Amino acid sequence: MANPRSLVYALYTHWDTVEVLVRLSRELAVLTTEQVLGCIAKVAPQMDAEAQGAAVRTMVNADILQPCARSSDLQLNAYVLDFVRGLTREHELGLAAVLQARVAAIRVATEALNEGMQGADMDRARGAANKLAELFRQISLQLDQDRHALLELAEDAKSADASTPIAQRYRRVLEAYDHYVEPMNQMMDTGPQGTFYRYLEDAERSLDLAFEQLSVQGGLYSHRLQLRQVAHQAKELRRFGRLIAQQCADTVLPLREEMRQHNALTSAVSLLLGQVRKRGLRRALSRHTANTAMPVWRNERGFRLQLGDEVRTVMAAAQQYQPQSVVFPQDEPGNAPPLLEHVDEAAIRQQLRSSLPVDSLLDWLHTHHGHLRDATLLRLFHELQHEDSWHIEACEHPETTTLQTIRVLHHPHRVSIPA
Amino acid sequence: MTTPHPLTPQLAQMPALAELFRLFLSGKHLNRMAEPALWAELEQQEAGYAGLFAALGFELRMDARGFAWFHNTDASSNIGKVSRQLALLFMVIFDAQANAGKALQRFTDWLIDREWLAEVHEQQKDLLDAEGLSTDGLIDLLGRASTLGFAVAEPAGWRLLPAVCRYLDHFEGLAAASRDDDNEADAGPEDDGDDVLNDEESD
Repeated sequence: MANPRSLVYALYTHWDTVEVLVRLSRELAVLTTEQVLGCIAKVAPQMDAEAQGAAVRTMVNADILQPCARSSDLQLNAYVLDFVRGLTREHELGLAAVLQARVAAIRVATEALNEGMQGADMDRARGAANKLAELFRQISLQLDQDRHALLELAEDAKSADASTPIAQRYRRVLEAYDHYVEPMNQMMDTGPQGTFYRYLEDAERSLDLAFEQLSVQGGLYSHRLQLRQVAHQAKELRRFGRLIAQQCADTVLPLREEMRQHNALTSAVSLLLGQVRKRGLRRALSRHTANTAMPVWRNERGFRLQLGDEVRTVMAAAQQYQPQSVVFPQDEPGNAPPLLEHVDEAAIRQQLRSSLPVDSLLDWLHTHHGHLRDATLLRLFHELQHEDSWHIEACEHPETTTLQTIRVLHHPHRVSIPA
Repeated sequence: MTTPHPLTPQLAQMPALAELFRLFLSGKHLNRMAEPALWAELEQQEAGYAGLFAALGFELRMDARGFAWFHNTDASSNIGKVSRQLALLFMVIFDAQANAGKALQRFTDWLIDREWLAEVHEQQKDLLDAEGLSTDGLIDLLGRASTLGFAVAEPAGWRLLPAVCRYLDHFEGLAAASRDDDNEADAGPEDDGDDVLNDEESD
């Protein structure tokens, strides 16, 4: 037995292939490697031969496919087959005898429960309750699977080619009716010969009684809870059984009575409904056809806008629109002065040249251009003292000159025309 | 895009133009038996209307069974979902009527009421529950079908309209495609003998 985790993971990765293989296995019990490769190629046409081989090996390693004894052929793991069939609703109709045997087993388990309670043998009673729970689970699973199998039989018959003779078309349905539905109906009959409800009721009563007894005697809570849960299962199964029997009869009776009209449309509708039941609506309708298409439409509901009276007011206001003059904000007095001051340096040089020699350049600048800002004045002072064409010498004794806001301690620069 | 000039003289003969355009534009189907006056109008000036709508970028299709619609090949995913659900609704309705031995081609005669819908829902409970459709969901869908021109609401229930034939045609097309695939698979080599959609028929 392979590792369950790797089996489930391989099942997940190769689900499309496994689904097809499971369906194929209804006709072919044993598959050759070529058939498996063919399935993979069909499901995943983009794979190359190497990848297909790898997929087969993965499935064999994960135990989804098992090699048959005495040959190189493969067969699906029975657990996988059962699991996938259950999930894809591809079950074969079970045997009514199996169901009957399980129903009969209910009686045995009920007796064991009663004996256990009478003999105050709690282990025996609990074992019987467990057995009942397991039986109920199996029976409801089988009923559900059988219902789908029967629906499929009916769908096949209904969707068969309209030209096949009715006896041939409904042969399998009628067989199913005789071999399955009829015995099941007998079993589910509420009269004296029906066993299903009788046994179920007995089991229910015993379970309820045991629960009561435990409550009075003061049994363990977990024991009481277990009995109650099983009793609920029994009630649910009774309801479910009735539903299934009803549904099977509803499905098969119209066919048996040959009430149903058979033509292209009814067979098409049955075929599609069968596909919807198994694969869901979206997948069933996703196939593309040559001439017809799924009706679709655009929903462009033309919508209208009606202007309200407010708009008229707005428009009237717009017609008499007059631009409002807005005073541009002035510079406030406290604002910082512009960084650069316009100075006609050429004129200053000219003036300086004509008044040479000058004893103190800074004082001269201050006297003649005192309106300039201190920074500008100092900049001029520094630039002019680097003038090459004049002779400039600094005095040894520093002097103080007061400008607009600052006072400067400097060695006065004497400027003269070089000799 | 519009070419009004050659059409101008005809426009005077199309008094219901605005109404028809609005109707088709909302995705609705026009049925002869539901709106005979409009249908007569449309039929008289069929070429004119078709030309005018074509110039506006819409394809008007008229079916001889008495319904017309703006044909479209793409739609939003939401509309795709509604259309699929409508398809399912019509499938279960037709299957139930087939089981009751009714003649399916005369579907316009059936009166569908809430009680009967509940019965249908009960019959196909698993399948409809799996698609998230309750009895109320089916009733809502019929309301939707009525606004789209697939059905008409009456005091006692609803009646289907001939536009449903669009779905019925598609059902037959789908089934034929399924069977074709099946036959192809049967005819092919043995290892191709399965078909993703259909081999449940052949066991």
